[in-house]
Amino acid sequence: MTSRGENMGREYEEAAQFSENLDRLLAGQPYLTDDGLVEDTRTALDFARWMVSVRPAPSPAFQAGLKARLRQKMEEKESASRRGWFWRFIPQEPVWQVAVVMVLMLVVGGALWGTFFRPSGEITGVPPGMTASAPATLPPSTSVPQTTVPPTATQTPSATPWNGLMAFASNSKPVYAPGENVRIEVAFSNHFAQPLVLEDFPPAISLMDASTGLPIYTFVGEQSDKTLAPGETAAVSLDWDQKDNKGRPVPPGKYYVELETIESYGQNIPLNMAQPAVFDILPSASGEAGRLLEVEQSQTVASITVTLKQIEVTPGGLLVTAFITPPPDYVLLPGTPALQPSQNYPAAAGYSLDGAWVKDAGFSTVGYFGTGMEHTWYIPQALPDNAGFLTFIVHSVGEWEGPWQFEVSLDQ
Amino acid sequence: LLIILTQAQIVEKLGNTLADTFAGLYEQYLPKVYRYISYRVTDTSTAEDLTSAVFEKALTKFKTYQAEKAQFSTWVFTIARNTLIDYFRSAGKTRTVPLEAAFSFQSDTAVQEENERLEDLSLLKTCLARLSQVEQEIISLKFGAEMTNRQIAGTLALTESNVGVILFRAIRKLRDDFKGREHG
Repeated sequence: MTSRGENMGREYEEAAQFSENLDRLLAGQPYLTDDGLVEDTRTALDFARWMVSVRPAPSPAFQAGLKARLRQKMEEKESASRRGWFWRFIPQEPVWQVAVVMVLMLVVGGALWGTFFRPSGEITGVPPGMTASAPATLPPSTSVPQTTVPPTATQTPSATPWNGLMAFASNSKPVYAPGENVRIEVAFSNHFAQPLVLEDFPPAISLMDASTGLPIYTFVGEQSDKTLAPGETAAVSLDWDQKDNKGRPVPPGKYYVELETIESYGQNIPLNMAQPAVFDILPSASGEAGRLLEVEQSQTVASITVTLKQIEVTPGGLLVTAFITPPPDYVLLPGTPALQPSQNYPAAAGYSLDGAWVKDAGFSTVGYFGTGMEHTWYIPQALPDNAGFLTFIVHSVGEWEGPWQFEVSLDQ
Repeated sequence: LLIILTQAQIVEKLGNTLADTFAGLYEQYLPKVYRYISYRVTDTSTAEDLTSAVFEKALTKFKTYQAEKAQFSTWVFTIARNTLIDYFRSAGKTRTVPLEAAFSFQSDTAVQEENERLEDLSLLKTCLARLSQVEQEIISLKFGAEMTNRQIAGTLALTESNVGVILFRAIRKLRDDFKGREHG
Protein backbone atom coordinates (compact mmCIF):
# COMPACT_ATOMS: atom_id res chain seq x y z
CA MET A 1 0.00 0.00 0.00
CA THR A 2 1.49 3.34 -1.01
CA SER A 3 1.28 6.38 1.24
CA ARG A 4 -0.42 9.60 0.36
CA GLY A 5 2.97 11.35 0.24
CA GLU A 6 4.29 8.82 -2.29
CA ASN A 7 1.21 9.26 -4.47
CA MET A 8 1.58 13.02 -4.39
CA GLY A 9 5.28 12.77 -5.13
CA ARG A 10 4.52 10.59 -8.15
CA GLU A 11 1.85 13.01 -9.37
CA TYR A 12 4.28 15.92 -9.08
CA GLU A 13 6.86 13.95 -11.05
CA GLU A 14 4.32 13.06 -13.74
CA ALA A 15 3.11 16.67 -13.84
CA ALA A 16 6.69 17.86 -14.33
CA GLN A 17 7.21 15.33 -17.16
CA PHE A 18 3.92 16.38 -18.70
CA SER A 19 4.77 20.10 -18.55
CA GLU A 20 8.23 19.59 -20.00
CA ASN A 21 6.83 17.58 -22.91
CA LEU A 22 3.95 20.01 -23.44
CA ASP A 23 6.40 22.91 -23.75
CA ARG A 24 8.31 20.87 -26.37
CA LEU A 25 5.05 20.13 -28.14
CA LEU A 26 4.16 23.83 -28.27
CA ALA A 27 7.64 24.53 -29.66
CA GLY A 28 7.06 21.90 -32.39
CA GLN A 29 9.50 19.36 -30.93
CA PRO A 30 8.98 15.61 -30.23
CA TYR A 31 8.34 14.21 -26.74
CA LEU A 32 11.46 14.06 -24.59
CA THR A 33 10.94 10.80 -22.66
CA ASP A 34 8.46 8.89 -24.75
CA ASP A 35 9.40 5.46 -23.37
CA GLY A 36 9.36 6.48 -19.73
CA LEU A 37 5.85 7.92 -19.72
CA VAL A 38 3.07 6.13 -17.88
CA GLU A 39 -0.09 5.47 -19.89
CA ASP A 40 -2.10 8.21 -18.14
CA THR A 41 0.53 10.84 -18.88
CA ARG A 42 0.96 9.67 -22.46
CA THR A 43 -2.77 9.85 -23.21
CA ALA A 44 -2.92 13.27 -21.53
CA LEU A 45 -0.09 14.41 -23.79
CA ASP A 46 -1.81 12.94 -26.84
CA PHE A 47 -4.92 14.88 -25.91
CA ALA A 48 -2.81 18.04 -25.44
CA ARG A 49 -1.29 17.46 -28.89
CA TRP A 50 -4.77 17.24 -30.36
CA MET A 51 -5.72 20.45 -28.48
CA VAL A 52 -2.76 22.18 -30.09
CA SER A 53 -3.89 20.99 -33.53
CA VAL A 54 -7.39 22.49 -33.16
CA ARG A 55 -6.32 25.77 -31.58
CA PRO A 56 -8.29 28.75 -32.87
CA ALA A 57 -6.45 31.14 -35.17
CA PRO A 58 -7.32 34.67 -36.27
CA SER A 59 -8.64 34.85 -39.81
CA PRO A 60 -6.38 36.56 -42.39
CA ALA A 61 -9.11 39.14 -43.08
CA PHE A 62 -9.32 40.07 -39.40
CA GLN A 63 -5.52 40.26 -39.07
CA ALA A 64 -5.19 42.49 -42.13
CA GLY A 65 -8.08 44.75 -41.10
CA LEU A 66 -6.80 45.29 -37.57
CA LYS A 67 -3.26 45.82 -38.82
CA ALA A 68 -4.41 48.51 -41.25
CA ARG A 69 -6.45 50.23 -38.55
CA LEU A 70 -3.57 50.21 -36.06
CA ARG A 71 -1.07 51.40 -38.65
CA GLN A 72 -3.30 54.33 -39.54
CA LYS A 73 -3.54 55.28 -35.85
CA MET A 74 0.23 54.98 -35.42
CA GLU A 75 0.90 57.16 -38.41
CA GLU A 76 -1.53 59.78 -37.15
CA LYS A 77 0.21 59.81 -33.78
CA GLU A 78 3.68 60.08 -35.30
CA SER A 79 2.59 62.73 -37.73
CA ALA A 80 1.10 64.72 -34.85
CA SER A 81 4.28 64.45 -32.79
CA ARG A 82 6.41 65.59 -35.77
CA ARG A 83 4.20 68.67 -36.14
CA GLY A 84 4.87 69.79 -32.56
CA TRP A 85 2.53 69.83 -29.65
CA PHE A 86 0.62 72.89 -30.75
CA TRP A 87 0.15 72.26 -34.46
CA ARG A 88 -0.89 68.66 -33.98
CA PHE A 89 -4.31 69.92 -32.92
CA ILE A 90 -4.80 72.17 -35.89
CA PRO A 91 -6.07 70.78 -39.21
CA GLN A 92 -3.31 70.82 -41.82
CA GLU A 93 -5.19 72.92 -44.40
CA PRO A 94 -3.59 76.44 -44.82
CA VAL A 95 -6.94 78.20 -44.32
CA TRP A 96 -7.22 76.72 -40.80
CA GLN A 97 -3.66 77.61 -39.95
CA VAL A 98 -4.16 81.26 -41.03
CA ALA A 99 -7.35 81.39 -38.96
CA VAL A 100 -5.53 80.02 -35.92
CA VAL A 101 -2.73 82.61 -36.25
CA MET A 102 -5.31 85.41 -36.38
CA VAL A 103 -7.14 84.09 -33.32
CA LEU A 104 -3.83 83.81 -31.48
CA MET A 105 -2.97 87.42 -32.28
CA LEU A 106 -6.32 88.51 -30.86
CA VAL A 107 -5.79 86.44 -27.72
CA VAL A 108 -2.27 87.80 -27.15
CA GLY A 109 -3.49 91.36 -27.75
CA GLY A 110 -6.30 90.84 -25.26
CA ALA A 111 -3.90 89.41 -22.68
CA LEU A 112 -1.53 92.37 -23.04
CA TRP A 113 -4.46 94.76 -22.67
CA GLY A 114 -5.57 92.95 -19.52
CA THR A 115 -2.04 92.97 -18.06
CA PHE A 116 -1.23 96.63 -18.56
CA PHE A 117 -4.61 98.33 -18.43
CA ARG A 118 -6.79 96.26 -16.06
CA PRO A 119 -8.20 98.04 -12.98
CA SER A 120 -6.69 97.33 -9.54
CA GLY A 121 -8.45 95.43 -6.68
CA GLU A 122 -8.65 91.96 -8.26
CA ILE A 123 -8.09 88.76 -6.33
CA THR A 124 -4.38 88.29 -5.80
CA GLY A 125 -2.42 85.06 -5.94
CA VAL A 126 -4.39 83.65 -8.85
CA PRO A 127 -2.40 83.17 -12.04
CA PRO A 128 -3.67 84.89 -15.21
CA GLY A 129 -6.64 83.05 -16.61
CA MET A 130 -7.30 80.98 -13.50
CA THR A 131 -10.79 81.21 -12.13
CA ALA A 132 -11.10 82.24 -8.52
CA SER A 133 -13.53 79.53 -7.47
CA ALA A 134 -13.82 75.82 -8.06
CA PRO A 135 -16.19 74.75 -10.82
CA ALA A 136 -19.77 74.69 -9.62
CA THR A 137 -20.31 71.19 -10.95
CA LEU A 138 -18.00 69.61 -8.41
CA PRO A 139 -19.53 68.06 -5.31
CA PRO A 140 -18.69 69.71 -1.97
CA SER A 141 -16.80 66.71 -0.59
CA THR A 142 -14.12 66.75 -3.27
CA SER A 143 -10.50 67.06 -2.36
CA VAL A 144 -7.80 69.06 -4.10
CA PRO A 145 -4.70 67.08 -5.05
CA GLN A 146 -1.17 68.43 -5.15
CA THR A 147 -0.76 68.46 -8.89
CA THR A 148 1.90 70.31 -10.81
CA VAL A 149 2.09 71.06 -14.49
CA PRO A 150 5.26 72.10 -16.27
CA PRO A 151 5.08 75.79 -17.10
CA THR A 152 4.54 76.65 -20.72
CA ALA A 153 5.79 79.69 -22.57
CA THR A 154 2.74 81.82 -21.80
CA GLN A 155 2.64 81.15 -18.06
CA THR A 156 3.94 83.54 -15.48
CA PRO A 157 6.61 81.88 -13.33
CA SER A 158 5.53 81.69 -9.69
CA ALA A 159 7.56 81.41 -6.50
CA THR A 160 5.17 78.74 -5.21
CA PRO A 161 3.96 75.92 -7.47
CA TRP A 162 0.35 76.36 -8.40
CA ASN A 163 -2.08 73.90 -9.82
CA GLY A 164 -3.06 74.35 -13.40
CA LEU A 165 -4.78 71.00 -13.72
CA MET A 166 -6.91 70.02 -10.75
CA ALA A 167 -8.26 66.55 -10.15
CA PHE A 168 -11.09 65.89 -7.73
CA ALA A 169 -12.46 62.51 -6.71
CA SER A 170 -15.48 61.83 -4.59
CA ASN A 171 -17.70 58.95 -3.63
CA SER A 172 -21.45 59.15 -3.25
CA LYS A 173 -21.40 58.37 0.50
CA PRO A 174 -18.87 57.46 3.19
CA VAL A 175 -20.08 53.93 3.99
CA TYR A 176 -21.59 51.19 1.86
CA ALA A 177 -23.32 47.92 2.62
CA PRO A 178 -21.70 44.80 1.16
CA GLY A 179 -22.53 44.43 -2.53
CA GLU A 180 -23.94 47.95 -2.76
CA ASN A 181 -22.98 49.93 -5.84
CA VAL A 182 -20.23 52.48 -5.16
CA ARG A 183 -20.53 55.55 -7.39
CA ILE A 184 -17.27 57.42 -7.88
CA GLU A 185 -16.94 60.76 -9.63
CA VAL A 186 -13.60 62.03 -10.84
CA ALA A 187 -13.38 65.54 -12.29
CA PHE A 188 -10.45 67.23 -14.01
CA SER A 189 -10.49 70.97 -14.48
CA ASN A 190 -8.14 73.21 -16.41
CA HIS A 191 -7.08 76.35 -14.57
CA PHE A 192 -4.52 77.38 -17.16
CA ALA A 193 -5.09 80.38 -19.37
CA GLN A 194 -4.87 78.22 -22.48
CA PRO A 195 -6.37 74.95 -23.64
CA LEU A 196 -4.80 71.87 -22.09
CA VAL A 197 -4.47 68.62 -23.96
CA LEU A 198 -4.69 65.50 -21.82
CA GLU A 199 -3.35 62.40 -23.52
CA ASP A 200 -4.89 58.96 -22.94
CA PHE A 201 -7.86 60.44 -21.13
CA PRO A 202 -9.38 59.37 -18.79
CA PRO A 203 -6.45 57.92 -16.85
CA ALA A 204 -6.71 54.53 -15.17
CA ILE A 205 -8.50 54.86 -11.84
CA SER A 206 -7.75 52.36 -9.11
CA LEU A 207 -9.68 51.36 -6.02
CA MET A 208 -7.08 50.82 -3.33
CA ASP A 209 -7.32 48.60 -0.26
CA ALA A 210 -6.26 50.90 2.58
CA SER A 211 -5.05 47.97 4.71
CA THR A 212 -2.45 46.92 2.12
CA GLY A 213 -2.03 50.02 -0.07
CA LEU A 214 -2.51 47.77 -3.11
CA PRO A 215 -4.97 48.26 -5.96
CA ILE A 216 -7.90 45.91 -5.73
CA TYR A 217 -9.70 46.95 -8.88
CA THR A 218 -8.59 49.18 -11.75
CA PHE A 219 -10.91 50.87 -14.19
CA VAL A 220 -9.44 51.39 -17.65
CA GLY A 221 -11.93 52.88 -20.06
CA GLU A 222 -11.64 53.78 -23.71
CA GLN A 223 -8.88 56.37 -23.85
CA SER A 224 -8.29 59.19 -26.27
CA ASP A 225 -6.79 62.67 -26.27
CA LYS A 226 -8.99 65.25 -24.56
CA THR A 227 -8.69 69.01 -24.87
CA LEU A 228 -9.89 71.09 -21.94
CA ALA A 229 -10.61 74.76 -22.61
CA PRO A 230 -9.56 77.25 -19.89
CA GLY A 231 -11.88 76.79 -16.90
CA GLU A 232 -13.47 73.70 -18.41
CA THR A 233 -14.10 70.57 -16.32
CA ALA A 234 -14.34 67.02 -17.59
CA ALA A 235 -15.93 64.50 -15.26
CA VAL A 236 -15.89 60.72 -15.26
CA SER A 237 -18.45 58.61 -13.39
CA LEU A 238 -17.74 55.04 -12.38
CA ASP A 239 -19.87 52.37 -10.80
CA TRP A 240 -18.05 49.75 -8.77
CA ASP A 241 -19.85 46.58 -7.70
CA GLN A 242 -17.36 45.86 -4.89
CA LYS A 243 -15.61 43.10 -6.79
CA ASP A 244 -11.88 42.80 -7.29
CA ASN A 245 -9.99 42.35 -10.55
CA LYS A 246 -10.78 38.64 -10.44
CA GLY A 247 -14.51 39.21 -10.03
CA ARG A 248 -14.61 38.27 -6.34
CA PRO A 249 -16.39 40.38 -3.73
CA VAL A 250 -13.91 42.42 -1.70
CA PRO A 251 -13.85 42.09 2.09
CA PRO A 252 -15.23 44.77 4.40
CA GLY A 253 -12.78 47.56 5.13
CA LYS A 254 -11.50 50.95 4.09
CA TYR A 255 -10.87 51.79 0.43
CA TYR A 256 -9.72 54.86 -1.42
CA VAL A 257 -9.39 56.13 -4.97
CA GLU A 258 -6.09 56.63 -6.73
CA LEU A 259 -5.43 58.00 -10.18
CA GLU A 260 -2.76 56.91 -12.59
CA THR A 261 -0.40 59.46 -14.06
CA ILE A 262 -1.80 61.43 -16.96
CA GLU A 263 0.22 62.91 -19.81
CA SER A 264 0.01 66.36 -21.29
CA TYR A 265 2.26 67.46 -24.12
CA GLY A 266 4.32 64.31 -23.63
CA GLN A 267 5.02 65.07 -19.94
CA ASN A 268 3.77 62.98 -17.04
CA ILE A 269 1.52 64.73 -14.57
CA PRO A 270 1.10 62.77 -11.33
CA LEU A 271 -2.45 62.93 -10.05
CA ASN A 272 -1.97 61.76 -6.49
CA MET A 273 -4.72 62.79 -4.17
CA ALA A 274 -3.54 64.79 -1.16
CA GLN A 275 -6.77 63.88 0.59
CA PRO A 276 -7.95 60.76 -1.22
CA ALA A 277 -11.62 59.96 -1.54
CA VAL A 278 -12.04 57.37 1.20
CA PHE A 279 -14.99 55.15 2.01
CA ASP A 280 -15.81 52.07 4.07
CA ILE A 281 -17.49 48.83 3.13
CA LEU A 282 -19.30 47.51 6.16
CA PRO A 283 -19.27 43.91 7.28
CA SER A 284 -22.42 42.10 6.27
CA ALA A 285 -25.11 42.50 8.88
CA SER A 286 -28.37 40.68 9.03
CA GLY A 287 -30.39 42.66 6.59
CA GLU A 288 -30.26 44.33 3.27
CA ALA A 289 -27.44 42.64 1.45
CA GLY A 290 -28.01 39.04 2.49
CA ARG A 291 -27.85 36.76 5.50
CA LEU A 292 -25.10 35.20 7.50
CA LEU A 293 -25.17 31.56 8.51
CA GLU A 294 -22.93 30.76 11.49
CA VAL A 295 -21.71 27.19 11.03
CA GLU A 296 -18.74 26.26 13.27
CA GLN A 297 -18.32 22.68 12.08
CA SER A 298 -14.90 21.01 12.18
CA GLN A 299 -13.41 18.04 10.36
CA THR A 300 -9.90 16.65 10.83
CA VAL A 301 -8.17 14.70 8.08
CA ALA A 302 -4.42 14.07 7.84
CA SER A 303 -3.96 16.01 11.11
CA ILE A 304 -5.34 19.16 9.49
CA THR A 305 -8.53 20.57 10.99
CA VAL A 306 -10.84 22.55 8.75
CA THR A 307 -13.50 24.56 10.59
CA LEU A 308 -16.29 25.84 8.43
CA LYS A 309 -17.00 29.16 10.15
CA GLN A 310 -19.75 30.87 8.22
CA ILE A 311 -21.63 31.12 4.96
CA GLU A 312 -22.71 34.50 3.74
CA VAL A 313 -25.68 34.32 1.41
CA THR A 314 -25.77 37.35 -0.88
CA PRO A 315 -27.98 38.05 -3.89
CA GLY A 316 -25.01 37.32 -6.18
CA GLY A 317 -23.81 34.11 -4.58
CA LEU A 318 -22.28 32.49 -1.53
CA LEU A 319 -19.17 33.38 0.44
CA VAL A 320 -17.92 30.39 2.38
CA THR A 321 -15.31 31.01 5.07
CA ALA A 322 -13.24 28.36 6.84
CA PHE A 323 -10.35 28.39 9.26
CA ILE A 324 -7.67 25.78 8.67
CA THR A 325 -5.06 24.71 11.22
CA PRO A 326 -1.44 24.80 10.05
CA PRO A 327 -0.44 21.81 7.90
CA PRO A 328 2.78 20.07 9.03
CA ASP A 329 4.85 21.97 6.44
CA TYR A 330 3.38 25.40 7.33
CA VAL A 331 6.23 27.85 7.93
CA LEU A 332 5.78 31.62 8.12
CA LEU A 333 8.59 33.66 6.64
CA PRO A 334 10.28 35.92 9.18
CA GLY A 335 10.71 39.63 8.61
CA THR A 336 7.80 40.25 6.26
CA PRO A 337 5.33 42.98 7.25
CA ALA A 338 2.33 40.90 6.21
CA LEU A 339 2.35 37.27 7.32
CA GLN A 340 3.57 35.17 4.42
CA PRO A 341 4.16 31.42 4.44
CA SER A 342 7.09 29.73 2.72
CA GLN A 343 4.68 28.22 0.19
CA ASN A 344 1.13 28.86 -1.00
CA TYR A 345 -1.83 26.81 0.25
CA PRO A 346 -4.59 27.17 -2.33
CA ALA A 347 -7.59 25.07 -1.33
CA ALA A 348 -9.82 23.49 -3.98
CA ALA A 349 -13.44 22.89 -3.03
CA GLY A 350 -16.77 21.71 -4.40
CA TYR A 351 -20.37 22.07 -3.31
CA SER A 352 -23.82 20.72 -3.95
CA LEU A 353 -27.32 21.76 -3.01
CA ASP A 354 -29.78 19.22 -1.60
CA GLY A 355 -27.61 16.28 -2.66
CA ALA A 356 -27.48 17.20 -6.36
CA TRP A 357 -24.35 16.96 -8.52
CA VAL A 358 -21.20 18.34 -6.96
CA LYS A 359 -20.11 21.55 -8.66
CA ASP A 360 -16.72 23.21 -8.59
CA ALA A 361 -16.30 26.02 -6.05
CA GLY A 362 -12.82 26.82 -7.37
CA PHE A 363 -9.89 27.90 -5.25
CA SER A 364 -10.04 30.03 -2.13
CA THR A 365 -8.53 33.38 -1.30
CA VAL A 366 -6.31 33.01 1.74
CA GLY A 367 -5.32 35.09 4.74
CA TYR A 368 -2.36 33.73 6.71
CA PHE A 369 -2.07 33.93 10.48
CA GLY A 370 0.26 32.52 13.10
CA THR A 371 -2.39 30.05 14.21
CA GLY A 372 -3.48 28.96 10.72
CA MET A 373 -5.21 30.23 7.60
CA GLU A 374 -8.56 31.76 6.79
CA HIS A 375 -9.86 30.60 3.41
CA THR A 376 -12.80 32.14 1.57
CA TRP A 377 -14.52 30.68 -1.47
CA TYR A 378 -16.87 32.67 -3.64
CA ILE A 379 -19.60 30.68 -5.39
CA PRO A 380 -21.25 32.89 -8.00
CA GLN A 381 -24.62 31.14 -7.82
CA ALA A 382 -27.71 32.71 -6.30
CA LEU A 383 -29.20 30.40 -3.68
CA PRO A 384 -32.63 29.07 -4.72
CA ASP A 385 -35.40 29.97 -2.25
CA ASN A 386 -36.26 26.33 -1.63
CA ALA A 387 -32.68 25.10 -1.02
CA GLY A 388 -32.61 22.94 2.12
CA PHE A 389 -28.96 22.08 2.74
CA LEU A 390 -25.54 22.72 1.32
CA THR A 391 -22.80 20.12 1.12
CA PHE A 392 -19.40 21.76 1.03
CA ILE A 393 -16.29 19.70 0.33
CA VAL A 394 -12.72 20.95 0.66
CA HIS A 395 -10.79 18.62 -1.67
CA SER A 396 -7.26 19.73 -0.87
CA VAL A 397 -5.25 22.31 1.07
CA GLY A 398 -2.02 23.07 -0.77
CA GLU A 399 -0.49 19.67 -1.39
CA TRP A 400 -2.56 17.97 1.33
CA GLU A 401 -5.47 15.88 0.16
CA GLY A 402 -8.82 15.69 2.01
CA PRO A 403 -11.66 15.58 1.66
CA TRP A 404 -13.10 17.63 4.52
CA GLN A 405 -16.85 17.47 4.06
CA PHE A 406 -19.62 19.50 5.72
CA GLU A 407 -23.38 19.56 5.58
CA VAL A 408 -25.05 22.84 6.45
CA SER A 409 -28.75 23.44 6.91
CA LEU A 410 -29.88 26.52 5.00
CA ASP A 411 -33.05 26.94 7.02
CA GLN A 412 -31.37 29.02 9.78
CA LEU B 1 23.12 52.36 -12.19
CA LEU B 2 19.72 51.33 -13.40
CA ILE B 3 18.36 53.45 -16.17
CA ILE B 4 14.76 52.83 -17.09
CA LEU B 5 13.80 53.93 -20.55
CA THR B 6 10.32 54.10 -21.93
CA GLN B 7 9.59 52.33 -25.19
CA ALA B 8 9.54 55.70 -26.90
CA GLN B 9 13.06 56.48 -25.69
CA ILE B 10 14.38 53.06 -26.76
CA VAL B 11 12.86 53.50 -30.18
CA GLU B 12 14.40 56.95 -30.48
CA LYS B 13 17.83 55.55 -29.65
CA LEU B 14 17.50 52.71 -32.15
CA GLY B 15 16.40 55.05 -34.89
CA ASN B 16 13.25 53.06 -35.66
CA THR B 17 9.81 54.55 -35.56
CA LEU B 18 7.32 53.57 -32.90
CA ALA B 19 5.13 52.30 -35.70
CA ASP B 20 7.83 49.86 -36.90
CA THR B 21 8.47 48.52 -33.42
CA PHE B 22 4.81 48.15 -32.55
CA ALA B 23 4.07 46.51 -35.92
CA GLY B 24 6.75 43.87 -35.25
CA LEU B 25 5.33 43.08 -31.83
CA TYR B 26 1.81 43.03 -33.27
CA GLU B 27 2.80 40.36 -35.82
CA GLN B 28 4.39 38.27 -33.08
CA TYR B 29 1.68 38.52 -30.43
CA LEU B 30 -1.61 38.83 -32.32
CA PRO B 31 -2.13 35.04 -32.73
CA LYS B 32 -1.29 34.39 -29.07
CA VAL B 33 -3.58 37.10 -27.72
CA TYR B 34 -6.38 36.02 -30.06
CA ARG B 35 -6.03 32.37 -29.02
CA TYR B 36 -5.89 33.28 -25.32
CA ILE B 37 -9.13 35.26 -25.63
CA SER B 38 -10.78 32.64 -27.85
CA TYR B 39 -10.46 30.04 -25.11
CA ARG B 40 -12.47 32.27 -22.77
CA VAL B 41 -15.33 33.51 -24.98
CA THR B 42 -17.91 31.66 -27.00
CA ASP B 43 -17.92 33.24 -30.45
CA THR B 44 -15.43 34.45 -33.03
CA SER B 45 -16.75 37.98 -33.37
CA THR B 46 -16.40 38.61 -29.61
CA ALA B 47 -12.87 37.21 -29.71
CA GLU B 48 -12.04 39.56 -32.60
CA ASP B 49 -13.59 42.59 -30.87
CA LEU B 50 -11.72 41.94 -27.63
CA THR B 51 -8.44 41.27 -29.45
CA SER B 52 -8.84 44.57 -31.30
CA ALA B 53 -9.51 46.33 -28.01
CA VAL B 54 -6.36 44.82 -26.47
CA PHE B 55 -4.10 46.04 -29.29
CA GLU B 56 -5.74 49.45 -29.45
CA LYS B 57 -5.15 49.90 -25.70
CA ALA B 58 -1.60 48.60 -26.11
CA LEU B 59 -0.95 51.11 -28.90
CA THR B 60 -2.36 53.97 -26.85
CA LYS B 61 -0.14 53.11 -23.89
CA PHE B 62 2.87 51.90 -25.88
CA LYS B 63 4.89 55.07 -25.33
CA THR B 64 4.97 54.41 -21.61
CA TYR B 65 5.79 50.69 -21.79
CA GLN B 66 9.15 50.06 -20.09
CA ALA B 67 10.95 47.01 -21.43
CA GLU B 68 13.22 46.88 -18.39
CA LYS B 69 10.29 46.55 -16.01
CA ALA B 70 8.38 43.79 -17.78
CA GLN B 71 8.60 41.69 -20.91
CA PHE B 72 6.25 42.77 -23.67
CA SER B 73 4.38 39.46 -23.34
CA THR B 74 3.73 40.10 -19.62
CA TRP B 75 2.61 43.64 -20.39
CA VAL B 76 0.29 42.79 -23.27
CA PHE B 77 -1.26 39.80 -21.50
CA THR B 78 -1.96 41.97 -18.46
CA ILE B 79 -3.93 44.24 -20.79
CA ALA B 80 -5.64 41.18 -22.29
CA ARG B 81 -6.60 39.74 -18.88
CA ASN B 82 -7.99 43.09 -17.72
CA THR B 83 -9.90 43.48 -20.97
CA LEU B 84 -11.50 40.07 -20.48
CA ILE B 85 -12.32 40.82 -16.83
CA ASP B 86 -13.95 44.11 -17.84
CA TYR B 87 -15.88 42.33 -20.60
CA PHE B 88 -17.27 39.68 -18.26
CA ARG B 89 -18.07 42.24 -15.60
CA SER B 90 -19.67 44.86 -17.81
CA ALA B 91 -21.75 42.39 -19.76
CA GLY B 92 -22.61 40.34 -16.68
CA LYS B 93 -21.60 37.31 -18.68
CA THR B 94 -20.51 33.94 -17.42
CA ARG B 95 -17.90 31.85 -19.15
CA THR B 96 -20.20 28.90 -19.68
CA VAL B 97 -20.88 27.60 -23.15
CA PRO B 98 -24.36 26.32 -23.88
CA LEU B 99 -24.35 22.62 -24.67
CA GLU B 100 -26.21 23.11 -27.93
CA ALA B 101 -23.37 25.32 -29.16
CA ALA B 102 -21.32 22.18 -29.53
CA PHE B 103 -23.70 20.74 -32.08
CA SER B 104 -24.71 23.80 -34.01
CA PHE B 105 -22.75 23.14 -37.16
CA GLN B 106 -24.21 21.74 -40.36
CA SER B 107 -22.61 18.60 -41.74
CA ASP B 108 -23.75 18.98 -45.32
CA THR B 109 -21.57 21.95 -46.24
CA ALA B 110 -18.64 21.93 -48.60
CA VAL B 111 -16.16 22.50 -45.81
CA GLN B 112 -16.80 19.32 -43.91
CA GLU B 113 -13.30 19.06 -42.46
CA GLU B 114 -13.28 22.61 -41.15
CA ASN B 115 -16.73 22.09 -39.68
CA GLU B 116 -15.50 19.02 -37.86
CA ARG B 117 -12.58 21.00 -36.44
CA LEU B 118 -14.95 23.75 -35.31
CA GLU B 119 -17.29 21.15 -33.83
CA ASP B 120 -14.41 19.63 -31.88
CA LEU B 121 -13.27 23.06 -30.75
CA SER B 122 -16.76 23.96 -29.63
CA LEU B 123 -17.12 20.70 -27.70
CA LEU B 124 -13.71 21.37 -26.16
CA LYS B 125 -14.89 24.82 -25.05
CA THR B 126 -17.95 23.23 -23.48
CA CYS B 127 -15.69 20.93 -21.48
CA LEU B 128 -13.35 23.84 -20.66
CA ALA B 129 -16.24 25.83 -19.21
CA ARG B 130 -16.81 23.04 -16.69
CA LEU B 131 -13.33 23.51 -15.22
CA SER B 132 -12.60 25.94 -12.38
CA GLN B 133 -11.63 29.51 -13.22
CA VAL B 134 -8.00 28.85 -12.27
CA GLU B 135 -7.84 25.77 -14.48
CA GLN B 136 -9.41 27.66 -17.41
CA GLU B 137 -7.01 30.54 -16.95
CA ILE B 138 -3.97 28.25 -16.84
CA ILE B 139 -5.06 26.37 -19.96
CA SER B 140 -5.70 29.64 -21.83
CA LEU B 141 -2.30 31.00 -20.83
CA LYS B 142 -0.56 27.74 -21.76
CA PHE B 143 -2.27 26.88 -25.04
CA GLY B 144 -3.21 30.42 -26.06
CA ALA B 145 -0.34 32.57 -24.86
CA GLU B 146 2.22 29.71 -24.89
CA MET B 147 3.58 30.82 -21.52
CA THR B 148 5.92 28.66 -19.49
CA ASN B 149 4.71 27.40 -16.11
CA ARG B 150 7.01 29.92 -14.45
CA GLN B 151 5.46 32.81 -16.39
CA ILE B 152 1.95 31.54 -15.55
CA ALA B 153 2.92 31.21 -11.89
CA GLY B 154 4.10 34.83 -11.91
CA THR B 155 0.90 35.98 -13.57
CA LEU B 156 -1.47 34.11 -11.24
CA ALA B 157 0.55 34.35 -8.01
CA LEU B 158 0.89 30.57 -7.70
CA THR B 159 3.99 28.44 -7.34
CA GLU B 160 5.47 26.91 -10.49
CA SER B 161 4.93 23.36 -9.22
CA ASN B 162 1.29 24.13 -8.38
CA VAL B 163 0.75 25.40 -11.91
CA GLY B 164 2.23 22.15 -13.28
CA VAL B 165 -0.04 19.97 -11.14
CA ILE B 166 -3.17 22.03 -11.80
CA LEU B 167 -2.42 21.96 -15.55
CA PHE B 168 -1.82 18.20 -15.53
CA ARG B 169 -5.04 17.53 -13.61
CA ALA B 170 -7.02 19.90 -15.80
CA ILE B 171 -5.89 18.24 -19.03
CA ARG B 172 -6.77 14.81 -17.69
CA LYS B 173 -10.21 16.08 -16.62
CA LEU B 174 -10.69 17.63 -20.05
CA ARG B 175 -9.58 14.46 -21.80
CA ASP B 176 -11.99 12.29 -19.82
CA ASP B 177 -14.90 14.75 -20.14
CA PHE B 178 -14.31 15.22 -23.88
CA LYS B 179 -14.07 11.48 -24.59
CA GLY B 180 -17.18 10.84 -22.49
CA ARG B 181 -19.20 13.44 -24.37
CA GLU B 182 -17.85 12.41 -27.76
CA HIS B 183 -18.93 8.83 -27.24
CA GLY B 184 -21.92 9.64 -25.05
